[in-house]
Amino acid sequence: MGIDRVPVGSWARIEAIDDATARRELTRLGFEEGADVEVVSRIPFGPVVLQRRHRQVAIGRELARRVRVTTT
Amino acid sequence: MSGSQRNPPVVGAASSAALATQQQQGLIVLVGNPNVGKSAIFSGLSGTYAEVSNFPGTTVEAMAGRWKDRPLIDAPGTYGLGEHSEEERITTELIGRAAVVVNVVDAAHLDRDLFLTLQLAESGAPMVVALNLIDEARRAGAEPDAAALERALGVPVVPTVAVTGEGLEQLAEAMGRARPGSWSLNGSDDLARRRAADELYGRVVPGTGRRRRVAEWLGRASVTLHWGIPMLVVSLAATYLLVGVVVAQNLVGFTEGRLGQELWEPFARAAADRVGLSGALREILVGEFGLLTMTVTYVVFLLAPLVAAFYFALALLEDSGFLPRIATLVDRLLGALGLNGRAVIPIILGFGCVTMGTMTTRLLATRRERTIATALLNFAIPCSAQLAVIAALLAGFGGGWVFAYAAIIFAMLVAVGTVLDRMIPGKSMPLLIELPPLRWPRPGAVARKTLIKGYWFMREATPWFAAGALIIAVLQVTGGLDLWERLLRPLMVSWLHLPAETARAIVMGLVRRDFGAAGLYDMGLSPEQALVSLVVITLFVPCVASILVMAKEHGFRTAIRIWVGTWIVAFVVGGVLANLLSWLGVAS
Repeated sequence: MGIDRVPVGSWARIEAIDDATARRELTRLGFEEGADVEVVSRIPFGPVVLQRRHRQVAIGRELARRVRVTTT
Repeated sequence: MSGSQRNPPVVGAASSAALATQQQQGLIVLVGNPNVGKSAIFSGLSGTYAEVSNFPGTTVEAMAGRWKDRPLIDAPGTYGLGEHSEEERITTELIGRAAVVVNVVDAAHLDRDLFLTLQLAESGAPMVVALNLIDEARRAGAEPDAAALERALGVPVVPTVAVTGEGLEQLAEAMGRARPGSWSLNGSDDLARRRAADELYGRVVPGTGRRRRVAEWLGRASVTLHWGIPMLVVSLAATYLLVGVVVAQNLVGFTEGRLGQELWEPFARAAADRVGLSGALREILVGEFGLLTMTVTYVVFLLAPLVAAFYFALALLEDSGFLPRIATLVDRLLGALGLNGRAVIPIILGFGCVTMGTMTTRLLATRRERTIATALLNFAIPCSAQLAVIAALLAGFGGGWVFAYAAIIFAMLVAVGTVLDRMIPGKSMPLLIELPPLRWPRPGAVARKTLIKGYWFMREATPWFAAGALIIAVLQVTGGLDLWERLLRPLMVSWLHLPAETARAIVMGLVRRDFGAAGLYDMGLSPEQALVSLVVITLFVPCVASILVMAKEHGFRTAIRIWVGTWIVAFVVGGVLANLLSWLGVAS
């Protein structure tokens, strides 16, 4: 399932990022495959905001679909 | 992400001779993630300015200075090394030339920063680590153990607070003890390095620290629709009040009218007469569009205050950490136009000055996005000089006309974006942006950034404004302007239902966008005519300076295409509007 479908306030584990550029960027930022992240916000039809520890990253909705997760 | 300017001495590819010389001279390179205070350390060491920003990606190009007798370079902010972006390539190249690498890290966000630190420690470059923003980490109750980090990496680690100068002396001293890191990674891929960084983070930073409840709540709320949108509206309204009303109308009214037109221009003309200038040369230098009269008034007394005001507002948005959140909120809207949320920055700046916005499109990731953003700016964004005149003209007719104008321009913005998104092959990059914590901007940093960005913009843009004015002045002296006006006249009357004299206003708009609007002021237009003419003027005329900058940034062909496109769109839309209004029976 893509992280775009995780409800706000829930946690999920990133299993795979199906986009090479985004995988590299997110890995550097600390949102790598295997990380547990919280979904902080979902702008309707817009970006999903993820949080890990005290840091946040926003990713566009299309890209969020390609961040595959399992809910924990 | 940078405002717009090319920063001072730009670092290019160095020849091998220059490389050897730099290493001999002990080149120091500052390397770190965006937004960690690298630029503040640069200023602290070199004594000259570097911008201090809270928006990821601030330093687009490297700044160079000196520390004692040694060259010092502030590399572009990057999250890692490699070949994947221009920033990474420049930084990687600089590290190869460095005698000492100073890795600046954000002590309060060490988990992110350690990825790059480990890469540097593996690279074999002699390095020291500046554990910057240590005060923030202390306040959060999560101060990293510098000694433990030093042992793990095998390089000196010095806590600093760059903006106050704390720890800079110790950092300078530690540069003498710089050495290659003793770290080696099991495996070579990013994921292994990321996990090693997380593991190291767990060892050097004490468990969960104190929570900053208010900041944390704001950080979350500001990216939700029901809290974020009101915050966005309030901040944009405040920006408009400051820039659009206080500066664009009150301050510029004084500087342009009194200082420029009443004091400076007569002085320049008198001086020209005294040295006996006459004929075409006099016209070009001190005539209606003269280089020493109109250009000086425009650039110094109108543009400079506006540009400074816009950079000030942008600096506040950047340094508070709010700008990336705005980018997140508007990402969906801009996505419909083939852009992503990051494009909000050139668009905000474009409302100040389209030329400034056009230069800022540099920070967009792909050529496709840069072209779309540039087209939007030049088609449909009225600059603040123009906006003030438009508002004054239409407000006289009542709110309905202002609304109609805004609705038409907004619809055109959407239409142009949508069409270009379909037409230009390829796909735009999706949004992926780090959201730094919200914090109070530091006044000193905001002030310095405003001045320096304003300075570099004016320095880069002034020649283009002068060139534009020169072209117009030559056209005027040779009769080209009159010819143009005569050609336009029939179109204005029969197609746009406007008085013949409006052709002059349109041609004037080429010189300065606000001239076009201002020229309409005294014509006694009906509300319908005012609406049609203002729509036409907004849609078509990018001033000559912005056309020139477009050509420089995007090539001659793109610039000509956009320019011709603006003519066609402006007259088609204006004509349809004029005929629609008369068909509806509202036109007189």
